[in-house]
Amino acid sequence: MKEYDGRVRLVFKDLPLPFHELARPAHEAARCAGEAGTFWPYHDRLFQEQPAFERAELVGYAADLGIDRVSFTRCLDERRFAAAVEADVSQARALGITGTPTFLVNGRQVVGAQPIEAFRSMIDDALKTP
Amino acid sequence: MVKRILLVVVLLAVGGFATLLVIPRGRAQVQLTLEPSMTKGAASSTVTIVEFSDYQ
Repeated sequence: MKEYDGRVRLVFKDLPLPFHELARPAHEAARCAGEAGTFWPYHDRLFQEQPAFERAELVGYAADLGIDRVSFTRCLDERRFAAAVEADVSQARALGITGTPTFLVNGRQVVGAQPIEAFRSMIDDALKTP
Repeated sequence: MVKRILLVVVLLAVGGFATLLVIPRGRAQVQLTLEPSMTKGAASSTVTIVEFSDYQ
């Protein structure tokens, strides 16, 4: 991202797959962390720790980042962001996206993890397009 | 080609058929919501990468 500073924006969207039963709480937890101002560090931690997403683990990762344990637990338990996660899932479905990761580079759909060179090439093309 | 034209002529003569094909009108526009805390980079960026992902 640094080499494209000011020219590229990354938007993360939730797409917990239905057969990953611990994924949805993890996505909701990340949004709770976002509410506390630490979405990206929590997002990175989840990818490091997957698939250790039991409730106590999700709360522990938040506490490690300095998020208040009580308010985070309340956010998780009341499923404050369940509808927001579901909205992302619905948007993915409307776009015909069924697998992860799926990227949209200025709307151009790219399915699956790609080497950094592939992204660099797509970004450079998009930057050249008037 | 001649056979095709003959087929069309016969079909037109017989009548009683309807075109059931739907004219494609392109993919419906999907309005993506955006949570500011889940974005990185300037909103004025030329390129936007949207990543749909699953933590598990």
